[in-house]
Amino acid sequence: MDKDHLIKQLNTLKHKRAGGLARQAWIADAKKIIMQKAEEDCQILQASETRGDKQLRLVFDMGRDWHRMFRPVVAMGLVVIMVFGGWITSVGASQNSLPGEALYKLKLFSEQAQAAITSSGESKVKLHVEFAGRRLDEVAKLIDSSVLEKEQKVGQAVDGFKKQIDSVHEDLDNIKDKKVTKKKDSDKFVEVTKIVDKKAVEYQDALDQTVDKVVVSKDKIKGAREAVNEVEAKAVEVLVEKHLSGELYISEEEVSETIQGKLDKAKQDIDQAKFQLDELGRPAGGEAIDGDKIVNEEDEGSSQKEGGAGTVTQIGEVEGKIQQGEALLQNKDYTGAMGKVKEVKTITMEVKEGIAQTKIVMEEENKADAEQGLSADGLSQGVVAPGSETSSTTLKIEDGLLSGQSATTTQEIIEE
Amino acid sequence: MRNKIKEKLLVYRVQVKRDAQAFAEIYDYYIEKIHRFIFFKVASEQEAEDLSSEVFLKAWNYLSSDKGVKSMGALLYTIARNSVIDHWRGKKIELDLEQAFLKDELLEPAAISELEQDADMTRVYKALAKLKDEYREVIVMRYLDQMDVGEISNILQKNKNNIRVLLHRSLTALRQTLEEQENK
Repeated sequence: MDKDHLIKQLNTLKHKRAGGLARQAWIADAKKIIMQKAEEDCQILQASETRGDKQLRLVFDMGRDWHRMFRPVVAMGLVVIMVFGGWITSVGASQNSLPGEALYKLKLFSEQAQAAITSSGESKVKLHVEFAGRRLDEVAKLIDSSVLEKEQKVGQAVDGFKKQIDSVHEDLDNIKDKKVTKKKDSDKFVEVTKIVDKKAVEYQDALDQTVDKVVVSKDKIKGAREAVNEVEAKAVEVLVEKHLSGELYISEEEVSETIQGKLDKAKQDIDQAKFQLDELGRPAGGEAIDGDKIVNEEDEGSSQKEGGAGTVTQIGEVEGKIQQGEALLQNKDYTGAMGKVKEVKTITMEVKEGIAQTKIVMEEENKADAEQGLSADGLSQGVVAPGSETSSTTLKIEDGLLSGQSATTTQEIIEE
Repeated sequence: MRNKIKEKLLVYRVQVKRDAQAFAEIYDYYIEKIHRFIFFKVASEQEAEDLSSEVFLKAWNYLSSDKGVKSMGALLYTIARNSVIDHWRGKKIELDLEQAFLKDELLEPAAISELEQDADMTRVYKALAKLKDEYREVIVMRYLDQMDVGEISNILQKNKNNIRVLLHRSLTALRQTLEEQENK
């Protein structure tokens, strides 16, 4: 091939997808997202700068030296605006994208960029809490959708959620180490720990609902729940620690109420678990069996026994620890009381998992029984396999009855 | 960007005037070039799109933090190169562009059939895929993106004579590869 012809071929290749020609739709979409971020950032930067800053930048060659001298001022400006503005605004089109979609990575990267330019510890906590909420929204949308590879995509969103919760944990550690001297800093600190506490409870409820929908690995959900439990406890621990060091403008009563709130929630959770366990102990159409009877059940095949015995013991353990926590709280041993709260949460999670597992096993057993026609009152409903001897016996019974055979004879045939 | 002064003006508008539209102009000029540059390194349209978007976001963060920028093109291509390296480091596999093309992994079916309608084009593409990265980069910049030697030298931070020599060697290597393919 001569040089001119080769160059002509190369020039033509640029108009082909094989030559790296980008899709116009993607170019437009990506531009929209990037420009939305650029415009938002420009507004923030413009609001934080003075005329003098700009003039100084002109003097110091496109702002390199200006940047070194005045960066703290700009950073403070950004912090004030972001904290005053509350939650960070969304980034446009990519906001609605889900795992597996073209703009999803851009969405995540934009979130990372937002977190990176946030210097305030409290604001970072709020950001990561919000991003965690977005991951759970994605999980909910994916579960309700009919996308391909749903399990993988939901798993990706759950992993993303856990990552954000881990970041919240890290952020709480960072702000814990920061000295708090002023009341407004104290108020900010207390507000953030309460936000984390409140959101952690909401996220835990959302994860409980996800488990019921069974579209992703149980280990992932378990990991996410453990992370939320830890961060919920961390928020209150950090509050207690700061209070004990005398840095916070917060009353003993408020600290005590916060921890009591945790113990009350733990009581609610364990009562709910007991109710669910009672429900499981009830056979179809029969009377409820209480926990003790389940423990004593001799039937080897009973899945209720396996779920019931350990679970009942654990419930007892939780109730005991709640009482210990309340006693410690009355003695103003806040650290001790929070320790009990953490232990209670761990055991309660195991109880919930045990009950969920038992439910699944029982549902599978019931399904299998129904398929084999071996349900408790199956025969009286005339559930008979076609072509079976029983079936032909039934016909004979009918014939016999029609021809005047006695009912006793009919019963004998059924019992054979 | 053909006009260095125009480029500097756009950077000034972003960093001093906080004019986001100036960045839009930079995006419009470079987006297809950056996409093509990355496309020939990652063997996937989807990944080229994702990485290209990341490059511009990173470039924006860099520009808006008021760091010095000698050349916008050089900045974008440097970020693009590093993004590709990070991408492959994350995947822990080596790129084989030719294999990806032969296995139809590079392109969607519509794009492949578009190419295969022209036998000459397919041969050129395959030969391009076989070239070493440095040669392929300059050929793409010069003959697909239609950049002049000055612009390429600015981006690759090499002097113009080096770029001319590199272009000559790259085209020679491409023609040799094509001859070898024809002789098989």
